[in-house]
Amino acid sequence: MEQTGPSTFYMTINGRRVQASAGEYVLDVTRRNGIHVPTLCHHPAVEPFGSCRLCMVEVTKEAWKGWKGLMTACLYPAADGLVIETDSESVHRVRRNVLDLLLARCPDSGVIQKLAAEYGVTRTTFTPRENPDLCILCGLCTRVCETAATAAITTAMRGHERVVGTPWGGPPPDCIGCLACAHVCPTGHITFEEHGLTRSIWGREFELERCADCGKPLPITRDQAAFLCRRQEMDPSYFSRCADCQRKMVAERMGRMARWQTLGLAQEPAERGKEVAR
Amino acid sequence: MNPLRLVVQPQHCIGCRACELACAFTHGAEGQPGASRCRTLTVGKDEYVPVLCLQCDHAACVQSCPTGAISQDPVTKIVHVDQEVCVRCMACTVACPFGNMHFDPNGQFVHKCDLCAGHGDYPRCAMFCPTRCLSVERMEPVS
Repeated sequence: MEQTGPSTFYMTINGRRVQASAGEYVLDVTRRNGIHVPTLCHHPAVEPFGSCRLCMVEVTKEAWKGWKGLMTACLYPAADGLVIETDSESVHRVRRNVLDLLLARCPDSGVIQKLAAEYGVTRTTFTPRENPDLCILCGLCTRVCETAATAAITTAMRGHERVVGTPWGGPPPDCIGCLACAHVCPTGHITFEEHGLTRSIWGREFELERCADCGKPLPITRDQAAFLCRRQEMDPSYFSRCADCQRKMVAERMGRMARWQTLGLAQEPAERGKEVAR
Repeated sequence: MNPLRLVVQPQHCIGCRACELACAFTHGAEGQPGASRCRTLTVGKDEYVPVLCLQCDHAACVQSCPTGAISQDPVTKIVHVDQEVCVRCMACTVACPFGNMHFDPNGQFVHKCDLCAGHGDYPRCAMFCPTRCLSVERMEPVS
């Protein structure tokens, strides 16, 4: 199903001729064609950012007379006639460097260790960080929070003091406790706890919404429900019942309709329906 | 071709749960059956109702998604979850007024009935239903 128009064109990836369209990035094209390019900071829900530097690929064009550049695939726009190499020696060298640095920053991260081992880096050549955590400062959590939630967290400080944090290091006032940051974190640095009706993340405690019928905790917080009502313009009643109770309600209603159908009535009599069915 | 529609007639349901098994085996991975997208509920004495996604237009799950990961296909009218874009905020599982957005705690992803899109493109539950409680129709074009 190939369509060619003014906005679609062809480029070459690892010697393969592939189709791409305007507005796409090189990484989108490789992903669509099943060509593996490692990434840590990429998430399709947010704009590309190019902070992990792992998706480096070699870019050239015939008109460039042999000049080759190393670019981040997630940020390099697809263009007509591009020639991309995703697994050449220079690409591997730069990825090894990146992983070497990441391993110095997060020596305990299983994700980084595994990825580094794939590229033949088993131990870092730099001095590992003292008291390391699992954060690689890719900023994916802050970008997802901006897009999907309230921009409650951000990177703070500069240089080697840079951290992902909350305003003034305290409990974030804008956080809604949706856990999106924890779920997208590539290394699992962001953690949360859930006990009964409370959920704690970023040093703040949230009360979970409760099902109006059975009283069980719902998987969203009160702040999150209020936020969704406001931002997605939905009625609060959408976020008041658990899936089990809602299914039960639907099943009861459908069962009642089916009962009327067997009696030969196309529809349940509107007024008396409920009393008779009981 | 007009989009498919799954027709549920609970008066024919005998509660055999073949639909649940068919669904679980269709959506399994690595040789293991997955979680069923179809849930058969017992409402009264010997009365069973299979509850499946209704593929709503203007669906609550689509509206509630903060990243736009859930969308309705304009041609097939099937509501899909894009697992790549999903950030697992769980808003859709609560928002669905029919309780048909499920969460898989093992695989940590949300899933819903997509009429077996990509698995033969024909609802497997309807194929295995012995009483035609679940059947498939082509939708009439809306004039």
